[in-house]
Amino acid sequence: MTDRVKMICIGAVIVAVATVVFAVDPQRANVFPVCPFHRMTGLWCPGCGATRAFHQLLHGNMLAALRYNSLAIVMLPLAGYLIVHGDVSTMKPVWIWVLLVVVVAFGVLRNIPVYPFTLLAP
Amino acid sequence: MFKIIGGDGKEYGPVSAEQLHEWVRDGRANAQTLVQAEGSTEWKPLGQFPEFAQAASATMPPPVVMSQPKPNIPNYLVPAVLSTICCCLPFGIVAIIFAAQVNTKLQAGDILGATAASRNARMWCWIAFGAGAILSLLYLFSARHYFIFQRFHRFRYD
Repeated sequence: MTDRVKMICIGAVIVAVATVVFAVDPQRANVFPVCPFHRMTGLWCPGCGATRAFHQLLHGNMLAALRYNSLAIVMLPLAGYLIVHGDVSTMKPVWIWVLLVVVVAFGVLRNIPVYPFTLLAP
Repeated sequence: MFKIIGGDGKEYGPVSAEQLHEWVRDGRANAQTLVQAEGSTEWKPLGQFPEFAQAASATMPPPVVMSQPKPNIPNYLVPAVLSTICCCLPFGIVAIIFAAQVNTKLQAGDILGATAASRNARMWCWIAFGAGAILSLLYLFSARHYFIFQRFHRFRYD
């Protein structure tokens, strides 16, 4: 598969997913798959709330989006950069370790039931 | 004309005998380097070619590695992160750790280690995706889901 075809496929998938997430409010309808980790443990995983966050973002509610999953929203420009310029195989290893630490730390912090960490929970 | 297999396992050539002599002088090929003469299908060590044997033995303990194009070893970082966030957190984290190891080892020049880490990263991505899919299917067919569906409960998570 050429890079061009690959980019078009990725773009089509993103547009399709974005359309569904825009049209359907995850708070109201249960058409989206539910996070298995949250279901089993009751804890918030680093991705929990991301669908609701993107729904709010697509409706222009930046603050509400950050409230649901700030990590996903902050990571979005980075993900975009990686998709366009991305060659993750030549990425400096230190950045992958940083990413791992950030994701795990976010997952731990948002489960602390004390203000201000409760802001991170969806 | 000759083709050779470099220290990196890749095929180089076809090149002329003069060029191959130059590679031997530069230490890019040695007596153990596999060479295929044009018109032949057999790969033989360079030392077995009479025309190169002398030149090759003169540079006997040479560096094995040819000019090193960085091998492309996938680290599966994107599926690893996706599986962590959407499917199964614990297994996804393992996949990210292996993805990071691929790049760390590649940077250190440990190609075998990087390949092994790459295989592990791929395996754990699949385990995470599989675990997430199985758990979701189990949930879909569980009574609790139908209860929630009927009551049209507000979902508190996604």
